Amino acid sequence: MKKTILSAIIILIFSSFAKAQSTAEDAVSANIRVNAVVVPSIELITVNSMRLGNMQPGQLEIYVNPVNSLNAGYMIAVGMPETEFRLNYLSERVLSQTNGNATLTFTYVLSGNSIENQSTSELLEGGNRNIRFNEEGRYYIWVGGRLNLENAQPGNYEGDFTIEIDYI
Amino acid sequence: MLVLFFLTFSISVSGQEINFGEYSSRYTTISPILIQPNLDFGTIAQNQGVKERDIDEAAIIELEGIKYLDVLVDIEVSSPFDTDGCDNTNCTLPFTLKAAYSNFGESNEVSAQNKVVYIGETTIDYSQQTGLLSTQFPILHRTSAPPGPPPTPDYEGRNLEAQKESAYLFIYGSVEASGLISGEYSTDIQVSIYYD
Repeated sequence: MKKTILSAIIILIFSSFAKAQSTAEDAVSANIRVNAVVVPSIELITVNSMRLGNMQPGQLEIYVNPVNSLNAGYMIAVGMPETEFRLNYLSERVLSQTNGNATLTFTYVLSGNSIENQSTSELLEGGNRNIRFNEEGRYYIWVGGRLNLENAQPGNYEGDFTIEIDYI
Repeated sequence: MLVLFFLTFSISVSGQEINFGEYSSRYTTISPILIQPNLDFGTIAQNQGVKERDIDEAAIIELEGIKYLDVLVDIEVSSPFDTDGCDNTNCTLPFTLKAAYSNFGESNEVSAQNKVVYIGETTIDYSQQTGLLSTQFPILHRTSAPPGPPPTPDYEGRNLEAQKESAYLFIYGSVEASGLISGEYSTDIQVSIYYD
């Protein structure tokens, strides 16, 4: 009787082992490499804010050219040298009257350069561009835009400008 | 006597399972083809937050096998997504692994991306250093009809190539960067495939 039980146990153990081995032999495998490069966070420094100045009676539009206007805003993006990044911004923003309910729509126009030279900067069209930091980890941005005054109410207006920068 | 009864019962339960995988390996193997062998999250800022790699940027494996057989797939991450020699949280990148498969007889991985079955997700980080996703599916999706006859046994001269089909496996996910040190981060995903 003891021999029978022992044999049954041995057969069961062997059977289980054989099945597991079959699965391992049949398996094929593949390897996927996962990687990422973590770099210092991007900083965006505002050096000068954009100025629209005073408007004259009858003036229908204000245009601040980011490439050559002294009124253009000026920002410096600082990040990982020689690394590509993506720049996003909403080109149209609503400016609100500070002492009233009137609004104006401002259309932003940006230019950028890898050297600190506004006059040779290139317009960043489309609001979503892949750009590269220079060897010092800097990229220079000038902010201008266009404001239609045809139906504008007199008063002071203000609004903000949001720009997002991410590594690609 | 009582022991013998339990042993007999155990044998009879196991005997009800028909495992075609035990026989399928005699005449065929599964061929995994690495169409996209890397899952590259690219450059991430130290405090960027969540960065996704969606299914259209996934690592892709094509599984060529016998269309009426089921495959079991284990997708395993056995070490955290970190830098060399890392031993703390600020050099471990929390990684949410996601996976999906497509077994609808699509001719390539691009069209297969639009018709997938989501497998699941698991997060690997400093406190949970390993993760596993497992699933089972036929190489070619079965329609909701009564099960067909069992597969034809192998015989000499049978054209197995005509029974082959491709399924696709997509591996993707997201990472979350917060207060990490700069550097190169990496890990590996092992994918094991075998017939049921």
